[in-house]
Amino acid sequence: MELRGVKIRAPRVESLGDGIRLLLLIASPYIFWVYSTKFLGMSADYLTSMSRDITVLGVQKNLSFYPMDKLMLFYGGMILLCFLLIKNEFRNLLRAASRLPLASKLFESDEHEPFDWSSISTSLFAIASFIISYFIMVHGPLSFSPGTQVPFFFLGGALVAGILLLQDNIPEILSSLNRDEISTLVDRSPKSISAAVSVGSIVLFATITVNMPMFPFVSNDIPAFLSAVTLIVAISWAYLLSMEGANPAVQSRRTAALAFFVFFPFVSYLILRLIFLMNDGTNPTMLNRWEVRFDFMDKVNTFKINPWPMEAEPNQDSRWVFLKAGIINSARVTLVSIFLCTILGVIVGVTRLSKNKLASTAATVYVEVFRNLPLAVLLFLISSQMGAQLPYFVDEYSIIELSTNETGSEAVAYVSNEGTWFVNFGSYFHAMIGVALLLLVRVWLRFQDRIEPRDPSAPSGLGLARRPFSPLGWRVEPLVSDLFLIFSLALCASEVLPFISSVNEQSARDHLELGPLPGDAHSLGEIASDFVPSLATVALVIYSFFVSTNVDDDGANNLEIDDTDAGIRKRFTIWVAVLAVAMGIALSGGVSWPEYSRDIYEPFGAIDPPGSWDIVKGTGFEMTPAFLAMMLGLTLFTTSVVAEIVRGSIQSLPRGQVEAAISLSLNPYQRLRLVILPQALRSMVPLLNNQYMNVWKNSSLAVVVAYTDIFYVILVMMNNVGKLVPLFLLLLVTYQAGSLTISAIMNWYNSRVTSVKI
Amino acid sequence: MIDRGEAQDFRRWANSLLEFEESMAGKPSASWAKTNGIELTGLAILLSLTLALFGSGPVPTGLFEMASVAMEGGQVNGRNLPQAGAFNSYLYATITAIFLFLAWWVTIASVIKWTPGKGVGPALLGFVSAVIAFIVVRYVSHFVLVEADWEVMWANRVLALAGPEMASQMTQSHGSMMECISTCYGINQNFRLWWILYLSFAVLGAAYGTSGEKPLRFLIPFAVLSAIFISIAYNQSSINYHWEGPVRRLIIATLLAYASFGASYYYCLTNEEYKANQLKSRISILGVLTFFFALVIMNPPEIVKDLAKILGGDPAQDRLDDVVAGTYVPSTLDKLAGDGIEASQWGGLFVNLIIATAGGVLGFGVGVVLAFGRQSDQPFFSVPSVAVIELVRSGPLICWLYFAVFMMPDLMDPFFNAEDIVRMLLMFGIFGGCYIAEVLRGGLQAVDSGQKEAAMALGLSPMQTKMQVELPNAVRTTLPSIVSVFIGLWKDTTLLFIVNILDFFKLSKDMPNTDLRFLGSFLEPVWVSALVFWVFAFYLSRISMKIEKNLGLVREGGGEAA
Repeated sequence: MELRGVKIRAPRVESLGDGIRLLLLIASPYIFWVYSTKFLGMSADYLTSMSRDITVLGVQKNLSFYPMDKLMLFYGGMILLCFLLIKNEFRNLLRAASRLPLASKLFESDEHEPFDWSSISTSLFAIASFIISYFIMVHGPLSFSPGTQVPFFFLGGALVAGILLLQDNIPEILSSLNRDEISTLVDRSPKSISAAVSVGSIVLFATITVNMPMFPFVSNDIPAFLSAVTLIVAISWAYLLSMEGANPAVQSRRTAALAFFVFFPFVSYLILRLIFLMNDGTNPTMLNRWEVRFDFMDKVNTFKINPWPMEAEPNQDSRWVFLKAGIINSARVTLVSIFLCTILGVIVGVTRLSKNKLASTAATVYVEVFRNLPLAVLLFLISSQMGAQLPYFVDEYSIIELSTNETGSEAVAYVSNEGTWFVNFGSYFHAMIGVALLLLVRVWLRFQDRIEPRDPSAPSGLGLARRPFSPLGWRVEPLVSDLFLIFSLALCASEVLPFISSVNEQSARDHLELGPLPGDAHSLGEIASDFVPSLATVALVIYSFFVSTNVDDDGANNLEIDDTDAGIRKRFTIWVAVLAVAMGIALSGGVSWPEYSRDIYEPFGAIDPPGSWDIVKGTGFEMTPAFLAMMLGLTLFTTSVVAEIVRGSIQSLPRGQVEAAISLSLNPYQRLRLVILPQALRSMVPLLNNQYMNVWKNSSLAVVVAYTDIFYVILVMMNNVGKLVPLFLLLLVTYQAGSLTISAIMNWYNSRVTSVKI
Repeated sequence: MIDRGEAQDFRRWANSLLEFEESMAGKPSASWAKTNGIELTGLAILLSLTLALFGSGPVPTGLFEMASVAMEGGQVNGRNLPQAGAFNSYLYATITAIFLFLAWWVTIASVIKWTPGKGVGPALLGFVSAVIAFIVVRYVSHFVLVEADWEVMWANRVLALAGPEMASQMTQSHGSMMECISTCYGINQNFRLWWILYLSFAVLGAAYGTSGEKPLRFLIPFAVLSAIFISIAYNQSSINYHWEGPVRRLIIATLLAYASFGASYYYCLTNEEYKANQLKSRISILGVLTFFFALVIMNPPEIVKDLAKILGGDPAQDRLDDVVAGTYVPSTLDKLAGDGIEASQWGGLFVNLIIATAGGVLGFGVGVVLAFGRQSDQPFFSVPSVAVIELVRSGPLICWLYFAVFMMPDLMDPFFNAEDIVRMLLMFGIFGGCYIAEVLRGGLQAVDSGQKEAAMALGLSPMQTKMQVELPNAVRTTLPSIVSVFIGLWKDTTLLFIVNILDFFKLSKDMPNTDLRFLGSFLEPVWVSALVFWVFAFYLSRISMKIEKNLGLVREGGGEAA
C-alpha cells in the first residue's frame, strides 16, 4: 500500500517474537477484562460495605461503616490527585495563585503579561467538580443507595475523569460556553464531536447515577459495565495514540491518561482495602493489626532490655521509653562502628596499595573475605565463636588482677563469654573536666600562635549572624568562638547525657539502697518535652560549630606554628604537663574497678552453687557480648567496603600528585596526610555517606545476636501487642530519620571538602 | 665457564630472594647488611626454619609440637578438644608452620638487617601483617582440621541443598528407580530439580561460550567444579542413598554444559560479531526464561498438568497407595500430570538461589519501569516512582521481609493467596528493583542526548527510543553496579531465616538439632554456609570485575600511596 509516497507495509508475522507479540495483542483485552472486573468488583464491594449506614437508636450497627466525608476526602481525593498529576498544570496554578490579591504582595508577580486562564481551567474544573461532588455526597439532599449508586458514583467518576483527560478539550468547551458560542459545539466538526463525547459522558454519568434503578443493565453488574466502557475507550484511544497525531506534550499526557485506566482498578482496590482494613470492626484481629493509633505506646511494656545506658524498667516504663532506649542502642553501635570502620578502612585501603607485598596481600585477602560474606552469617559466626572460644563466666579469666580476698577480687578487665568488664572512671564529671582542660590548652596555644590575617574583612548586617564575634577583632574573635564551642559542648553534654542515660541516677539510688526508680509511664509528649532542652543545646552546638568553621573559612584564623626544634620541644613539654594534670583531674573522681564477688555465704567451704558469683553491679564498665559481637561484625564488614572506597579514590588521583610530593621530599606519612588523603577525600565522601547509611540500616541485623536495638524492640512489641502497622510505620520513620541525619551531616561535610575547586 | 654460569645463576637467584625479602621486611639500613645481604638472609631463613619446626616453650610452638599436641587432644579454656587424626594434625601443623616461618623470617631479617632504621613504617607493616596472618591461619586451620567435626555437614548435605521436605524424598524414596519394591515412601519429585540444573548448566555453558574466553579457561575450572560435586554426591558417609542416580545426572549436566559451550563458542567463532551479540542477548533471555521455568516446573499450574494429561500422563497422586506399596512406579509424565512441590515445601540452597534470582530478574523489570518512571516528565509517572523508590529504600530489608510476611497477606489475600516464599520472591523483586532503579537512573542520565535525538530523527516511537536506545546504553555502563546489587541481594537471602523460611543458613543453624550425635557441633554448619555464600558472592564479584574490564570502564592511574 502506498500513501502519499510512503510505502506502508501491513504488519506481518515474520518471527517467533512477532508471533508472541501478536498473541499478546489479541490476548490483552481479555486479560484486561478479567483484571478490571475483578478489582473493580472488589472495590465496589468495599465501597458498598463501607458506605452502608445502619444507625439504630444512634448506634452504628454496621461495624465496617466509614463516614462518607472521609471516604470522599481520601478516595475521591486520590482520583482528583491522579487527574491533576496527569494534567500537570501545577506551574500554571502557582502562577495563577501569585496573582491573587494576598499573594501578589508576597511574590513578585508579572501582572503586565496577560494570563491565559485556559491553561489552568481543566485543573480548576476538576477541583470544582470534586468540591461539588463532596457536597452532594456529604451534605446533599440526595441519599444514594450504597449498593449501586455509591460505587457507581466513585468508579464511574474515575472513568469519566479518564475520558475527559483523553479528550483533553475542557478549556475549549468552557471558553465556548463563556462566549455564547455553543453553536460551534454542534457543527459536526471533529472538535464538536470530541466536545460531545466529553459533555455526553458527564451527562450520561450524572443521569445514570441519579436514576440508577432505570438502568438495570448497569446496576446489575457495575464492574462489568465500567470495564466494558473502559475497554472500548482504551482500545480506541490506544489505536489513536499509535497514530501519533498529536504533539509530543499532548501525546505523553494522553499516554499517562491511558496508563491511569490500566492502573486505576488496582490502585483503587489497594486504597479501599487499606481504608477498609484500618476501620473494619467486623474483624477485631485485623483491626488491631491495622488501626493506626499510638495510644498503646503509652502503656507499660513487659519485656526486659539491656540496662545501659538507658534503663527501661519492664512493667513500669512506657513503650515510648523502650523505643527511645532501642534508638539509643542502635545509634551507639552505629556511631562506634562508623568511627572504627573509617579508621580501619583508611588503614586497610592504604595498606592494599603499599609496596610491601606481604601487607598488601594480607589487606586484599581481608577485603575479599569480608566484603563477600553475608553480614547476618558473619554476625552469627562472630557471636557463636565468641560464645565458644571466650572463657566461661564461671572460671573468670582476669587480665590483670589487683587484689584478691575471700569474697572477691578486682581487676583492670575481665573477659568472659557473658560480658566484658573494664576499669572505668569513678566520676564522669571529673573526666569531662580533664577533657575540657585539654581543649582549653589547645585554644590557648592557638591564641598564642595567631597572626594577623591577610584579608581582615569584617562582616556586617546579616553576616554578623555567621560570625557574631567579628567586632572583637582578628585576635580575639577566633578565641571567643573556640570558647563558645567548648561552652556549648559542655552545656550539651550536661543536658543530653541525663536524657539518654538513666544510669547515674540509678547507681546513686543503688548506693543508697533505694531500689529502682519509680516508673512513670512517659508518654510521647513528656519525652518530647524532656527532649526540648537537649535539642536546644544540640542546636547551640551546631550553631557554634558553624561559627568556628565560618571563622576558618573566611581566613580570619591565620596561624603561624613555630616548628623549630626549640618550639617543638616547648610544645612537647607543655602537652606532657597538661596531659598529666588532666589525667590527675580525671582520676581524682576515683576509679571504678570491676569487682568480682564470689559466693559470700560459704560457711562450709562448699563448691560455689551456680549463680552465686557475679560482677558487683555498678562497678567497672560492662560491654555485653551482644554489643561486642554487633560492633565487631558491623566494623569488620564495613571496613572492607570503606577500604575499597579509599583505595579507589586514591587510585583515581593523578600520579603527578604523588611524584610532586616525593620531589618535595615529603616522607610517606606526610605524603599521605598532606597530599593524597585530602584530595582523595573529595571523591570518598559521597561514597562514605552511602556506607554510613548502610551501617545504620544494617544495625537492624542486631536481632541475629539478640542485641536490643530498634528493630528488636519493635519486633518484640509486635509479637506482644500485635499492632503491626503502627509499629511498622514507627520503624520506617525512625530509620528514615537516621538516614536523613547522616546524609545531612555528610552532605554538609562534602560541600566543605569540595568548596575549593581544583 | 660452567663456574661463572653457576655463579651468575646463583647471583640472580640470590637477588630475587633478597628482593622478595625486601618487599616484606623493608630496606636494610645496617652497614653490614649492604655487603653480605645474602649471607644474612640465609642465616635468617635457617634460624626461622628451626624455630618454625622445633619451637616450643616461650616462643610459639613449632610444627612437631603442634602436631603432637593436636593428636593428643586436651583442654583449652576448660573445653575438651577431640583427638585429631595424624593426617589432619600434620596438615594443620604444616600450614601453620609455613606462616610461622614467614613471621619469623620477617622478624629476624628486619632485626639483623635493622630495617626500621630506613623507615619504621614499612618494617612494622611487614611484621604486623606477618603476625596477624600467622594468628589467623593458626586459628582457622586449627578449627577446620583439628577442632571441628564435619560429620554433621556430611550427614545433612542433601537437607542443606534442598530442604527437609525434598530431602526426605531424595534420600529415602527411590520413586522412579526400578529397585523400588517395598521401601518407597512417596513420589520422587527429584526430576524437577534436575531439570532446572540441566537447563541452568546449559545456559551457563552457552553464556561462557559467547564471552570470548579461551576454551580451556572454562573447561578446566568447570571440570574441577563438577568433580567436586560428583565426589560429594558419591561419598556415602553418614547417609544412605543410591548414589548412582545423582552422579549419573551430574555427569549428564556437565556434558550438557560442555556441549552448549562448544556450540555457542563455535557459533561465535564462525559468525560475525553482530550475530555473536545477538546470541548473547538470546542467551540472557534464555537465562530469564530458566528462572520462570524453575518456578513453573516446581509447582506447575493447572495448564501444565492438563497438557501432561493429554500427553498420556496419569496423575501420580491418584495412585499414592500403590506407590507407597511399591507396586507402581510412576513415570515422569505421570508425575508431571500430578501435583508439584508447593512453595512452602521448598528449602535449602535452592530457596536462596531462586529468591536471589527473583531479586535480579523481577528486580530488573521493576527497576527499568521505576527508572523510566522517575525520569519521565509526566508527574503521573514520576511522583509514584519516586515515592516507591524512596519508601522502599528508607527501611532495611528485614523490615520489608516482615512486611511481606505479616502485612502483605492482608492486602493481597483477596486476590492472590500466595505462600510465604512466593511473597518473598515478590518482595526481593521490589526491593532489588528499587536499588537497580537508582543504579539505572544514573546510567540513563549519562546517556548522550544525541543518542535520543538520533533515535527520534530515525522515527522511532518514544517506547522504542527508551527500550532500544536509552536502556541498552544505560545498562552497558551500569552493568557492574547492577551485578553488585545482585551480589547484595544474594547475601541478603540469608535474612530469610528471620522470617522462618528454611533457607540454607537457617537449616545450617538448626542442623545440630537433627540428631543427638551432632548436638555439640553448632559452629561447623555455619562455617560451611559462610563458605558457600562467600564462594557465590566472590564468583559474582569476579564476573562484575571482568565485565568492567571488558567494557573499558576501569580507570587506570594513581597508585602507591604509602
